[in-house]
Amino acid sequence: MKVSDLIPKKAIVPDLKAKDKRGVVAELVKAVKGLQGASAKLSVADVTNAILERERLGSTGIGRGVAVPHAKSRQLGKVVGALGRSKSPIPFDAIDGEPVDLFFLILSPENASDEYHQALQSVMQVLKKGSILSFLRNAKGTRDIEEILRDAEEPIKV
Amino acid sequence: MESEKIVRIRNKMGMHVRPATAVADTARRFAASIQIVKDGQPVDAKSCIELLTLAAVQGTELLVRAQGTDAPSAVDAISKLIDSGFGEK
Repeated sequence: MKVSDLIPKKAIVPDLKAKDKRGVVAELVKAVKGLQGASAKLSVADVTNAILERERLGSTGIGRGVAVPHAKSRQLGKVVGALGRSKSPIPFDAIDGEPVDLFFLILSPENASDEYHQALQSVMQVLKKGSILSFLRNAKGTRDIEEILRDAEEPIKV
Repeated sequence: MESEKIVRIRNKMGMHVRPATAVADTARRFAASIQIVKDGQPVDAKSCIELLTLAAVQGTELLVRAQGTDAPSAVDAISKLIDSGFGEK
């Protein structure tokens, strides 16, 4: 699954308003609600709690200012994602002790483990590319971020 | 000093976010340079992001390789972690 399919324009939040973990997670879940595949019945509070519950087991702050919060929800028909960027990095108990400013939220239906792992892998492949984090951090807004993600997944034309 | 060992992913969910974090965490305790190699592709064991790109599912064979004075301990610690299924079934 392509990251550009996982995270449509509506689900890119280039300037998160929240200043703490719970706030950021809720803001991202709100961005996902209303996307194709996400039921209108989706409870932002319930999904936020599920994500924070997962964080309690072990932070998804995987280093270099990146976090990959995730949870399952019955109110989803497919795997959906959101990307949030914070101008001021937020404490997230990350593995390297650094605050996080880039959040890749991945929400999946129950029993969709494979799809979730594929989505996560796609995100990781993009993040592995040199300088991509700098580009994302310096992007002006949603359209630039979209383009960066799309370009990162383009096969190199010789 | 160089050290290496072949291991196999045993747990059902493979090396997802939590195990990858555990491996990176363990690797960072050592001064050695440490790589995890899958199908000839090495990644930095101290980088969670790189570890997650391996998509190491159950049954995957990995090579744990390290260079430096504490390379043997590093390979040992990481191999034990992977062999134990990261404490998962």
